[in-house]
Amino acid sequence: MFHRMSRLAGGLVALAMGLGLNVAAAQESRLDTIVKRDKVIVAVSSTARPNGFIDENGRHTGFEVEFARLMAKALVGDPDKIELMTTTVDGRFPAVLSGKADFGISTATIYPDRAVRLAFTRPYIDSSTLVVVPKGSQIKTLADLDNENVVLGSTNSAAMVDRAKKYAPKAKAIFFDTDSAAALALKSGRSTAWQADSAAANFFVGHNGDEFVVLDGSLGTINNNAIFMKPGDFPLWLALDTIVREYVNGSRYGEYAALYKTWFGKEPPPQRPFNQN
Amino acid sequence: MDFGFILNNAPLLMEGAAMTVALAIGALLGATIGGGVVAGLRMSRHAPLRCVGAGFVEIMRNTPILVQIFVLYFGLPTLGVHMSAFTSAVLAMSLQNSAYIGEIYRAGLESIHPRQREAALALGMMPGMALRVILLPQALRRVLPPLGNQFIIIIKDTSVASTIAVAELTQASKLLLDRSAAPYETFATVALIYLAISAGVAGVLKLAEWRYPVRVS
Repeated sequence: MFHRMSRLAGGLVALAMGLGLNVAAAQESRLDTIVKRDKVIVAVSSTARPNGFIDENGRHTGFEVEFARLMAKALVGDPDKIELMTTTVDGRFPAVLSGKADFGISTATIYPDRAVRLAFTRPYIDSSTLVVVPKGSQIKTLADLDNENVVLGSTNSAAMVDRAKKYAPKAKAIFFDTDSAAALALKSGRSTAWQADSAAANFFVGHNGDEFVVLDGSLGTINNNAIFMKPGDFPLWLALDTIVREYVNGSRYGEYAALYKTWFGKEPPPQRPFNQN
Repeated sequence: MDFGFILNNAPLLMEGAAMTVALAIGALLGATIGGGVVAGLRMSRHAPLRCVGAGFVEIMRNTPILVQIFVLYFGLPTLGVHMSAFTSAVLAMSLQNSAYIGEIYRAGLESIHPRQREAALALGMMPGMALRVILLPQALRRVLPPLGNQFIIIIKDTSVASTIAVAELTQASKLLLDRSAAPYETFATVALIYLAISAGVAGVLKLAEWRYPVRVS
């Protein structure tokens, strides 16, 4: 009897220890996991030039991909200690919410609706929405978009859909999974105008300047693009947010500025001193 | 899990579901008719027609539906042929599934013993009449189960149309996901809608199988 009781007690202790370990594991921040793993896993795009794409040499690169490497450098000391998880627009949030990726850098604009279910750092870049049209197009200004003959293409994101409804309600709006497909639609004549993130629009026209132009002005407000992650992990969020601040406006501004200039051909906004002496 | 925003966005999902049903109906009709043509070519007495049929089946079966849709939607305009996104999607799905359904028809027809055709001809029937009165009624009963499977595959394949800007159910769900960042609620709801549509078609086909059972001769 005593033997049986002692075995039962032993089993309960083991169970309690197991549960205790599980609780401890559940409380462990993903930041600790990243440090122990010595590698970061980041959800990025591969079809959104110039933010994330596969270049002519087969290398996955772009402003956001290289910024992800800078984040890896800050987190684990080496920009190459990174695993790039390629996602589409619709796969980027599930990638972090499911825990497959540590965080994501994929032209994600901060919106209140999203902030309910995702944690965002401070922005690493501002973006606006530009409109690209073929040279010689009847569409000369943004106001010309609101016309029944206009076919306005873009990616299938909430912001793009809302802008199409707001600024070109008479136009036919068509939405694609990727920027690449939306650009292809413009090239093949499927659409007569393409609304795109400013980086993508400028990059496209920079490489197709003989055929396409960007209309003057931007469609709607300036938006903030930020790193996104699964909510509820304060240590990881704080680390990411601090690192972003250091790159965009702090001690590592020089590296950020060099990266920005490489991809956009101009200087980023200057540092904004808090209390300069 | 918070399904409140799903209810708020129900009209968006319902519009998408309606477009999915329209795509499916178009593709089902196209593939059902196209399959007959393919089976006719594959079973023709003339070798060139059989070659055309076989070549069509191999090309359609061995290239992805996504590539076929892109060729029709993005490729054809360069040749001066402009079809709407909806038409491109329906045509691509009809063509690919014609190949599969044609093979299903052929298998059904070839499963009928040749002596039945010979007997029909011996009774004085013309070949066309023998096909219509003796062979097809039996073959159609036998192909109902695989045809049902193919119909359900067509319904699920309609989601590929979202890649060429057809505002069907998957595209609506992607938009909802992008707006809300709530993948589990969104995908669970969309899966249920697809299940309802597919189950409806499967139910009709089960009913047809029950009403027209295979009679073993």
